[in-house]
Amino acid sequence: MQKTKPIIELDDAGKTYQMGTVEVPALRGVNLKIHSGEFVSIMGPSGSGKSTMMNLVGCLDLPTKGSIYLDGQNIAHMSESKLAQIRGKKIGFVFQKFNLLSTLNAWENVALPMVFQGVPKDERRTRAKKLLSNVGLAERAEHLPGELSGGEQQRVAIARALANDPEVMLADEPTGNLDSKTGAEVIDILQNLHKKGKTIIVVTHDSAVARFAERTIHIKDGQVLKEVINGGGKK
Amino acid sequence: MIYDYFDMAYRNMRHRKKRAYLTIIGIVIGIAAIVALISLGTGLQNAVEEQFGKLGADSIRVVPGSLRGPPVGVTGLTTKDAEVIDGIHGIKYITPMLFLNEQVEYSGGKAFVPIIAYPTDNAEERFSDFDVSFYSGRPFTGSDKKGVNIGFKVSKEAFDKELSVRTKLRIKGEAFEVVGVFGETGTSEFDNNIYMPIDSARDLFDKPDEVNVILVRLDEGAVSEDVAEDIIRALKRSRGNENFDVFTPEQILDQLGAILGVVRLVLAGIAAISLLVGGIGIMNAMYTSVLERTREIGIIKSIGARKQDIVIMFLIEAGFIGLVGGLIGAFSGFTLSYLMGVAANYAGYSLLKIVFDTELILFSISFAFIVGIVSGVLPALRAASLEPAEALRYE
Repeated sequence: MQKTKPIIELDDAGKTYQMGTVEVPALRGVNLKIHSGEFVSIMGPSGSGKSTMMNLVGCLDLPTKGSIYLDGQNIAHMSESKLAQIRGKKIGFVFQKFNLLSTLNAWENVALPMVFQGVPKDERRTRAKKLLSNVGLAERAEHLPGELSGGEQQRVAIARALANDPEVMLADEPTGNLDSKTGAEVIDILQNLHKKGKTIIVVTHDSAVARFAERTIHIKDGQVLKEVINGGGKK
Repeated sequence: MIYDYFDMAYRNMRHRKKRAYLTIIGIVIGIAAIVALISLGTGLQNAVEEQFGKLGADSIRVVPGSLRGPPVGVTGLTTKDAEVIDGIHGIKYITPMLFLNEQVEYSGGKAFVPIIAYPTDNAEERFSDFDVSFYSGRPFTGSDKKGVNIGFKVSKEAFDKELSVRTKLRIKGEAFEVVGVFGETGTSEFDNNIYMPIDSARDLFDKPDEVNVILVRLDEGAVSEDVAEDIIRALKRSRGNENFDVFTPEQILDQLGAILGVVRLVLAGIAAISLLVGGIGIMNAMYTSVLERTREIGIIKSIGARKQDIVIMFLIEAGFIGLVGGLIGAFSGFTLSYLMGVAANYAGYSLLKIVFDTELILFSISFAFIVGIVSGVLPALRAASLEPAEALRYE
């Protein structure tokens, strides 16, 4: 399984929130390695520190202790702008609520991450439309998110996550707002991406979803409870 | 890239049309008020300068000492002073004037009309130098001992019945005949008075040697400052005192300009307050926008937007509001002042000469843009400092 160097590594990474005078530890020193090309799921009940972990793994937040390495670089003390730049290039996010910008149409949403990487406009359009056709939405490219179904919106979100061809795709409850059929389609797309070599990390509380990953990391009370190998992520 | 930010700002504004409009209106009002009031101030100044030019830019005024206001009833200068001045080199002719106020009777009606008396010589030349034309009749001459000229408004408004050439008036019990009516000049200096030959006035009012103002017309090419100095020197010598003032056109224009400058500044200051309110409106709208778009900010941060990207996006939006408000405001402000000028002219006060001032328009538009940007700074920084993880959780 450990084919290559870790793309993401948490080294005793912890996060404590300051709530007034009270310190609330959300994550208490986690060690975790995710290798390039892996399909990993992170599972845990709400309040387990799962979201905090996703934020740290996705470089959306910085740890209050320990280190996080993204592609060998310690991000724990990086400036926010540097972090944003890296995040935009190396990580693609898929959220439970799709999080598309309502004022932009499908292809513009997909093209948005490229704006912040300075990709020229024509190239952005071409790439965005190609990514949309990869998820079967070529016909819907000019539609606003409000005109798309939930499943379509999530596919647009996946296309957007792939805009800058990131090494890691991080999905937070990607099927949480979808019915089981469209949810299965989304899982399908993620599996295909995995087959093409993308590193996929899915955060979920749904064991049926978590099962599709090669490896499931169970979180409880801000700590890794156990790791389970799922046998290759077969459907 | 900047183009994309403009595009996004534009879409955001379209998305929240009503608020964008309201915010823009705040700026429009501020800028329109500034442009309109400054234009009116400048229009007033233009008109005053032009009317002063009519009185003669190449003329000097000599008045009794410490006199700044209308010289009615103030004594101090005499016919002797006028003679002294008349002998100075560089002077074309002088106009010693008497200002009087007397009840005038006509066809059973009585009215107080200011009477100005001047010499009968050079009458044609004098009126053409003053840029006064005749509506009807002619200037009085040496043979018109009992003839008067009247201003346009006096002819129309002073009495119930209109006055015209050959109308007989009674002044201090003596009969005078109107020999000429001036065309309308738009200045009270010529429209609102009765003009009488100075010799007749001296007899009638028993003022044998009093002079209220001496208007000095310069020879072509004469330097007003130099002639003014000569006048001062000559008068000092002959009078033995300095109880008189000599004003050159430059001095009077400077004084007027200073006063009108203050007027304009005060007007602009008042208008600036409304622009300030408009700026606060932008700030308020932008703060609301930051709050509303917290989640959106989280999203674009998660897909790679840096702090400076967010700041620029919000500043562009705020600046755009300012710019659009400035554009609309500047042109509506100018239109407003222009219409007021037209209305004032129509009502008979040619005291406003509104001119399209490109500099003012450009300045006010850029100013609005800057107000927009400045008002957007704090909200933009607030937006940029949002933590992406937290912003994404925001409902």
